[in-house]
Amino acid sequence: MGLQVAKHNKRNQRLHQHGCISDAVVMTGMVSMELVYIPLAAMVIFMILILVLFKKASPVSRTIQTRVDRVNRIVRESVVGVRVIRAFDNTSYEQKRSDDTFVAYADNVIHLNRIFAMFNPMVWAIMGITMVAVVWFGGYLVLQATTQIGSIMAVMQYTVIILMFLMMSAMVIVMVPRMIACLERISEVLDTAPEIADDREAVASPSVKGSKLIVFNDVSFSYQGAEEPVLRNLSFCCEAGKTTAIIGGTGSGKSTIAALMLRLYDIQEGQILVAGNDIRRMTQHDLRESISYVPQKAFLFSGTIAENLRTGKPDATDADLRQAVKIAQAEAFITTLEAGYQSPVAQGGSNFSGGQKQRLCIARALVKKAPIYIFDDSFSALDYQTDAALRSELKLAMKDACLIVVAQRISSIMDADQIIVLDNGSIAGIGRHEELLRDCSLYREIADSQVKREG
Amino acid sequence: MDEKNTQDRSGLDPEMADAPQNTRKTIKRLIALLLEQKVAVVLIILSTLLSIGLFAVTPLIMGWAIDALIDNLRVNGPGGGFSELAEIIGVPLMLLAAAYLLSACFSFVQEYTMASVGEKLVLSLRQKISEKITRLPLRYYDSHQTGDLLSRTTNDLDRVAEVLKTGLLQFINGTVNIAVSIVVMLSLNVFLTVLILLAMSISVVVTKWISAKNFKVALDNQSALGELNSQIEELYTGNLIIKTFNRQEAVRGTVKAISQRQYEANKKAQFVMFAIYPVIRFLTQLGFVMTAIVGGILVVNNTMTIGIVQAFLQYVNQISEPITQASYFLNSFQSAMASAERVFDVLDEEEERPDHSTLQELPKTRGAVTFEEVQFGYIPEKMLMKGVSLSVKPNEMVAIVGPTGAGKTTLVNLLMRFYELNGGRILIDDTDIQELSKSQLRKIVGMVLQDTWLFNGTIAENIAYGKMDATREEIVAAATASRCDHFIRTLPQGYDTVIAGEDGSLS
Ligand SMILES: Nc1ncnc2c1ncn2[C@@H]1O[C@H](COP(=O)(O)OP(=O)(O)OP(=O)(O)O)[C@@H](O)[C@H]1O
Ligand SMILES: Nc1ncnc2c1ncn2[C@@H]1O[C@H](COP(=O)(O)OP(=O)(O)OP(=O)(O)O)[C@@H](O)[C@H]1O
Ligand SMILES: [Mg+2]
Ligand SMILES: [Mg+2]
Repeated sequence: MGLQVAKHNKRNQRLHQHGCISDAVVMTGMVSMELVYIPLAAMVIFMILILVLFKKASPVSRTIQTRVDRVNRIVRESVVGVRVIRAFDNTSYEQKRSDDTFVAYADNVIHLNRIFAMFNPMVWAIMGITMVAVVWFGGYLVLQATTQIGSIMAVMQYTVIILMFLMMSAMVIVMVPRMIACLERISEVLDTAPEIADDREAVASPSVKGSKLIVFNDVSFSYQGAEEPVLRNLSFCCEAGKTTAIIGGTGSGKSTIAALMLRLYDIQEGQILVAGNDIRRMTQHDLRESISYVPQKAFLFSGTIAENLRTGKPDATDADLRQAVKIAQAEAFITTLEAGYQSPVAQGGSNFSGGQKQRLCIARALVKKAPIYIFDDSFSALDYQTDAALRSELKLAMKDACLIVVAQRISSIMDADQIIVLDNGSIAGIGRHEELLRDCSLYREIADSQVKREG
Repeated sequence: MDEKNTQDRSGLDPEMADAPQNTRKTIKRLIALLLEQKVAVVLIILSTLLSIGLFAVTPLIMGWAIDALIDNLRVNGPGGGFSELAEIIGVPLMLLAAAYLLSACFSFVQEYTMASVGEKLVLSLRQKISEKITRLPLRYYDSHQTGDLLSRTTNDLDRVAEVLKTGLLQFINGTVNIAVSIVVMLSLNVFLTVLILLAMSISVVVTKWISAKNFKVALDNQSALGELNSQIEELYTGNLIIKTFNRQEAVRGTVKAISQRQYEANKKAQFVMFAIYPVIRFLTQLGFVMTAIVGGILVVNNTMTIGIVQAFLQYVNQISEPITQASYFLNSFQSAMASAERVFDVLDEEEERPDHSTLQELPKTRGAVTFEEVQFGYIPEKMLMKGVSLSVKPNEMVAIVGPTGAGKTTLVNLLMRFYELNGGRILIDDTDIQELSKSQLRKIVGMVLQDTWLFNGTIAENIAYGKMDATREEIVAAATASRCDHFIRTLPQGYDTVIAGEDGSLS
């Protein structure tokens, strides 16, 4: 934004310059060697003035940029969070918060404007005094008969030209601090090295060896800056054609496991193999091509339903979409919509119910068709009936795929081939439902509490 | 992502939205707002008149000085030092210096006052918008992009401020300058003045033509910019999906295409300026040349003094600059008007039904909720609820179950009056919720939203969101009730851990 303004002003001003200043000085010198000192002196004074203003304005223009950020953030939050704000009746608090921010921003701008309010009048004053000086000394020279009266007039015109152009270039110069601030912010973003980079000698095409599609070998991981690792010494494997479920209390690290499989973070210890390759030796593109993921937080892009479904596979046919939607149990509600697959999706999918959004996200992952599917708590907003129907269809359609299902409800995962019980980042038990009921006390607790509540 | 949608998203339909449709109305509204700062406006106008008026007489004084010098030369011949000089042109030069300095002083008063006027006006508009954001019905948010609303509150308003600050000043100065100069010139020599004005009118015509052309290009530029903003805002939020669905290339392509469009439009706009500006400049200089030639002839014929010619030359310079700048001003003015209009559009949006609370005091609620024959549809033509009735007794825990998409969240939305009913009533105890103010209502009802959403701030602040003055004990109690006390304590800074809005650092 700042850059834009600067550029715009510069465009206006640059036009005028084109060496006009030097031309004018040379011309003055040619007209009268004695008088040339006057415009030169004016130029020096002028430069000093600019320097002073520049010094004064620099810090102010720098803070403006951060204030702009704050205004942006506040407005954004008040729009994105409008439901929460209203639900908690916090309108007046929000209002005060944004008012304060706006006022701070305006104050800053006004402060800067006031510094520059000095600029034009000073230039006028310098120009006026120069004129007077030219006539005074010029008049003397004329009286001495060393100069013609026309020369005075010429010098005056040249003086005006010189100062005009200096003034315009000054307007560009005063934009510089803000431009520098902008540039710094841009390069800050550009210079941030991506946390995760592809291995230069990445495996060309991952070969699927055996049925063990995902293998965790003694994996430990902690988020940057956290004291404790979130995951500790995890070892397990997920096979093609089988369903692996992960269950555990909130914050136990289930979503983190999914993120690690997708290599959204790099692990500190251990090894993760996908299709027999260490994921650090694969390109991110290849890795993510082989995994279809449904995030915990259902997110849709604005556009149409069909566009959203095609996110992972732009060339999917209508039949592909229909099939995925059918498995995801979303067919019924899409067909009731007037525009069907072309129905608009509002920003963030806010015109769909929680469960509808979730099913669209599932369908989107199904359209992508990959050997591995990860469902991160993706059935939580579905009622039991829909949940059950979805799972059975999924099982039928994905006979050869490796399914990883994160869930909180025992009923969603009871029939999984392998259930991993996670307790605060470590595995408390692995096995089938019956085995865990027998051997794993934590699992039994979870099961008991849910049966009791839902019974 | 498709054509139609992209335009909705940016809110900048190049044909319709950004071209000022009702410039006169917009200007009127802006002027009305401007007049809220009457004192400042009067001060600005007065100081402008004084400053320009003084500035405009300087060429005359200068002419007087030069003529005095010439007369002296003619009568006494060359010779003499500074004391003679002081006698000849001392008075006019003192006056000249005084005029310049005073003019500069008034100009400072003008600029200093102006420094805050535009910004204050925009501040009040910005506050109005943010207030409006709290009063717009949720329906509005369902159909509008965050990025668009955001850009109206920031970019558009900044553009208005910029034009108010520099453009308006330039405009006032230019107009007064031209008017005063023309009046003085006419009083000096009608014939020469008319000639000069004729020569300059050519450049005015050209300027107008360019500005029309350039405006269209500038519009393209802005709409591309708006689109870019909306896109980036959404891509940022959907970053996880983009990564995991390997959409980086495609997204880069889209962004690149829009950037490219913006670049092209900008380049075109610049080209128009660069190619044509020298022409305008040349045309304005015609006036200067003409003055010199005709003035020279008049001097030779003894119908004009050299001092007056000098004055004329200065006037021509003085008015040619504002004229050449007019095309820039027109452009920025037009696009600022378009921006102002976009802001007024939001301000004119229909608001939530106003409270007509008859109850002064927050009633003591027992907590009975009754839905009576409630009718509602998000889209009026498509009713979702056709006569829903239910009642919940105090202290009863009711679970609303139903297949997904049945309308559970909607029931809560209606109870909170996020949306207005199309028929029927909702009662809390025996009071129709329509009779409560929204604020009273929302104090009575506490809810947990299905879509989790947190503010920038610490965890404690977020938990206390519903009750700003909550004590630490109350916060901890609430956290324990929702079973997150333990997990919060495991975080590095406990309750004072800072979480970033909407991001993924909490599960
Ligand atoms: N991006 C992150 N940065 C720092 N810490 C994080 C981040 N994401 C998650 N955590 C922390 O890691 C822990 C595990 O989080 P995770 O999201 O894996 O839990 P989860 O098992 O999926 O829980 P839930 O069932 O609530 O979704 C939590 O304590 C959480 O606060
Ligand atoms: N803002 C909206 N604009 C238009 N239609 C909407 C909007 N919000 C919800 N709907 C539609 O209204 C219907 C009911 O939605 P609601 O959110 O009340 O369902 P729900 O019962 O809460 O479902 P879930 O269990 O999936 O959360 C759905 O068909 C949904 O598509
Ligand atoms: Mg999770
Ligand atoms: Mg819901």
